[in-house]
Amino acid sequence: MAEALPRIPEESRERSRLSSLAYRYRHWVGFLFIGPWLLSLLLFDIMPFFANLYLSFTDYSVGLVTPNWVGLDNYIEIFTEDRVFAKSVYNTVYYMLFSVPLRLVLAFAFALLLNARLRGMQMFRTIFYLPSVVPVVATSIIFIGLLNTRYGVINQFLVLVGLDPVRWLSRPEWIKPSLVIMSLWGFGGQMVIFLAGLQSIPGELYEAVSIDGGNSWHRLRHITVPLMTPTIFFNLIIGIIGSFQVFTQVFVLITATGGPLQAGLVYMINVYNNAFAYFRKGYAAALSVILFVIILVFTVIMVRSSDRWVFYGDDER
Amino acid sequence: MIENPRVRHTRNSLTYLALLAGALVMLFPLIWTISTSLKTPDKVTLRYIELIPDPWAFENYLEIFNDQPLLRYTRNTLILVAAAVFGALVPCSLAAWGFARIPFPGRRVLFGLLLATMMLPYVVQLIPLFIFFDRIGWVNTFWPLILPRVLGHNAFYIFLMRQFFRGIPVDLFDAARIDGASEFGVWWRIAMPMSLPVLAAVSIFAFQFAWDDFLWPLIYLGGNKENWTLAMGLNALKGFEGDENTMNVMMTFSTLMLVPMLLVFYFGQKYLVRGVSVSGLKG
Amino acid sequence: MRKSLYIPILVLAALLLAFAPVQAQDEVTEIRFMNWWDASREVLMLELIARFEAENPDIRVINEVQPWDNRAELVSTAIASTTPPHIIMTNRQETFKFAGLGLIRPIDEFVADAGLDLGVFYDGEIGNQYWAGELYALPLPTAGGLTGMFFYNKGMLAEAGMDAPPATWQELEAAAQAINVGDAMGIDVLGVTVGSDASQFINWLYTNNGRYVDDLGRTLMFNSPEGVETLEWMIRFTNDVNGGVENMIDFHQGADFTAGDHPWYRNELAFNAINTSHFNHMRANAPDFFADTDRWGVMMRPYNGDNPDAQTAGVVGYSSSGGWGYTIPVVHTPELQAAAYRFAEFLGANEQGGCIFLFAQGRPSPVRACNEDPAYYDANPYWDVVLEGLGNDVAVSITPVQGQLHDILNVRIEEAFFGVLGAEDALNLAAEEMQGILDEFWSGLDG
Repeated sequence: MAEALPRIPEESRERSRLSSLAYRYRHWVGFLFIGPWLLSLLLFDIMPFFANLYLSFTDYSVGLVTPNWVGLDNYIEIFTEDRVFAKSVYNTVYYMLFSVPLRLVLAFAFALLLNARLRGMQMFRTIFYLPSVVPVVATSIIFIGLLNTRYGVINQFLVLVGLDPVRWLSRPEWIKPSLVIMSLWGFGGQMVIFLAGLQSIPGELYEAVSIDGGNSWHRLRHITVPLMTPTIFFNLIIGIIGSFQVFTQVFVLITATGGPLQAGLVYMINVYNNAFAYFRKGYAAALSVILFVIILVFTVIMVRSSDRWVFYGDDER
Repeated sequence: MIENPRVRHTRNSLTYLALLAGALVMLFPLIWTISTSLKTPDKVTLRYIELIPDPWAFENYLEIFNDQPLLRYTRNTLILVAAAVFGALVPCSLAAWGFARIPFPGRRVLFGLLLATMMLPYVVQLIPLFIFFDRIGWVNTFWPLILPRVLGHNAFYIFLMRQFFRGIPVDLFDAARIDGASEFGVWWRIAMPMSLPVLAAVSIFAFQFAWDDFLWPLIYLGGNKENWTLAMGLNALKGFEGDENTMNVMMTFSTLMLVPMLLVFYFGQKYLVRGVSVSGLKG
Repeated sequence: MRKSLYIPILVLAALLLAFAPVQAQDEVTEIRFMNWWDASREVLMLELIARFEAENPDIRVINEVQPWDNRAELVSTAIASTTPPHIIMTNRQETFKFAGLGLIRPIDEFVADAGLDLGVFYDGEIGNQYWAGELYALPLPTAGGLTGMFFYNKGMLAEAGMDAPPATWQELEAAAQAINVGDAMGIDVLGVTVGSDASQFINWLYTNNGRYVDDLGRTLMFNSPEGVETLEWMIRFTNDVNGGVENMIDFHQGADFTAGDHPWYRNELAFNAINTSHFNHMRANAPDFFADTDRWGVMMRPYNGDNPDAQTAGVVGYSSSGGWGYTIPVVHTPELQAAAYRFAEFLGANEQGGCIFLFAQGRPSPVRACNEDPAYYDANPYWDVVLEGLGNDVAVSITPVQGQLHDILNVRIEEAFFGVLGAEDALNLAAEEMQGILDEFWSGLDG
């Protein structure tokens, strides 16, 4: 179809003609591309979502029984009676605010280092990905070994340099920092994504800056970071969504009680306890709807702001 | 680009130093896993870190092959891994391309829905999905685990690839279209080869998540031991109330499970840092 | 992937061929048994099933053993299935919840038809399995049993200048005071931890003549003067003798009786509260220690010597996650339910069933007669003490909301240990909040 077009000297005219032609053609082609996923959305997302929304207005507990409609009772209880709710929102937001940016910076820094064309990098990349694949129990044992007040490596170091030991896992005020430290451990996944992202930066751009006399900092500031913004944006969004739903690593380190004075009781622990320990699945459904809304708000803010700082190779908005 | 060799040397040394320090920390859990896998049950330590087994229990590795149907577990796991990798590379990547480069009505809304699918916790999806698959008689088959994967039911991969596809300069595709390439042709012949790094990343993730997945296979395949995966076999060593003295054997099992994973990463990461150069295609 | 289709079909075809002649002769009922007796216990369970099938050739039991993690999720999906397993191993809270919703069936009729004498069980153990006056399961293993007991280290006791294990709180405190070694960063050698959670509070409460709840499970009673005295003693002990609750959390970080570096095996802990599996772990992790009865002993949980009404006690069934029974979902045909009951009875009450199964694990049985087997005395040097402990057990009446109540009590007690609240306020606040939930539950049931 495109070949039949007469060659028009002005490139711009050709392009506008092409895209208007193509647009009609792409209308349904777009749905061909997303078709399989769209089917999975209907089957495996829309259905559970509305089932969950319905259950959040009921007293559903367990089994194949028709639950009783309780209207807004679950939501009212969450905001008026649930003493754990506010605490868990605070703990989770705290965790998110520290863990996400720190992990992002760490993953980015190590991706830059590991992107160097030096000997042995394959081995180093594998080693830095290790914490993402070793059993969770191994990680938690190592963390107990690092953070224990008496035998922990970190405290022994603190004492060596003349500081007071810290009760990392037994004082309420230190639980959340400990959880954040543990979360940094798993930056390997994000690092892999950054490594992939660094490859899409054309080499000649760096050469241009070098000729202009730019140093490494300039290259980083004016080329690497701007061109990496789509990847940074991705890791940020995924990090936020993941942090709000953090569960397993907290569960492994401080159990479903949430640690001393519930200082590490994150949102999902409350959802989990209601759904499975208390058999209040209707209530857990309401909690998860609220979590959904909270994450949605944060994500929408990030997506909206992304127009200003994320640069794609296209001119679409 | 001419650089003072001295400066470069210093910078490389500093890079190595930083990497070595980090690597030492990162290696710890692996070393602990391997060392525990070579201990006798009474010598397992959970409060202190003791890395040298005494005595060495190499027999753990022999016994686990006799005691556990590792081949069957592996075969079952590979069925799920194959579905996951295929799903990530074909339907997910197609959808990502659709979201990145093909305008169609409602694209922004659907992309919003794509992101939203990640925001509902698994805890509350479990029962509705189970009831659905139970009603159509698929519990105790692999289909509830295969079908979503081969339909590309994974917002994470789609979103990730979409970010990369959008980074490829538009001119390239328009040129191909002018040359008569279909939209699928553009996706297959230009977008895919140019995105090898992200495809490698997605394949590694898909492999790993399916390889380690425990909860969903448990729900759908738990009833018949013939269908168990490696992760389920590993967990079953814990015993009732988690109180068997099997930490050493569990770590033997884990170490064996780690090997394919690390091989996949070691060879996959070659593609992570060797994408087809954008400028190369342009010419 | 295609292969995955053929293999089940081939397996099915082979199975059909193999069983076709048998089915033609007489009907074999297949029942699926969902349980968590995995790892080394799976072998025992398969032996037990083989014995059952030999006695009952018309029933085939399929052992659907499950990995331990994510058990709660699996139970919740299984019970929502249109074809759930015919028998599910459930804990007491699940049993009550499912019973209340009519998802499982009472077994009184089956028991009567089979002529089973329920008197063979310890009262507390069988009592655990009743909901709203009907019996839903037979117990296995014991729900309580050893909460009233401690291991003690004879060598460490002698070093502290004591020749007999402490019988009262006050003697325990004196012993711990003499044994503890530590400094500002924590404790190296510990006498005993009295605990800082709800479960330990309840255990100590019963050794001060207190109670958690009335017999009907309707009125909470733990915030009595005995309760306040118990909690105050636990906090004072923890602060004055052990240097604060943080020390105790740190000391037990990573400590697991299944691992060889538990402080008990290293002579770093003089008294250790135990449960039914501790004997077996000790035998596995420290065989020499286990064999040498001059080095360790078993004693009853100390009671408050200042309270003339107090005596040693253990608690059965406070925990919402214990009290295992074998329940029968209602959705299957009566014939299948009857077959399921026959296996459940074999498992629970038959000498060739549960008895042998628990003995092989070194655990006591909920069936009294099983525990009198002389073989137990050979395998466990302190078996007579274990039986004495079983006899001291007091049953606690819980409800399906116990998990929620426990968590509230836990938080309030922790607040008392961290000095946020006084002991009395903590218990009163907890009782008030918990009673509200309990009242709501009962009014929903009665109304």
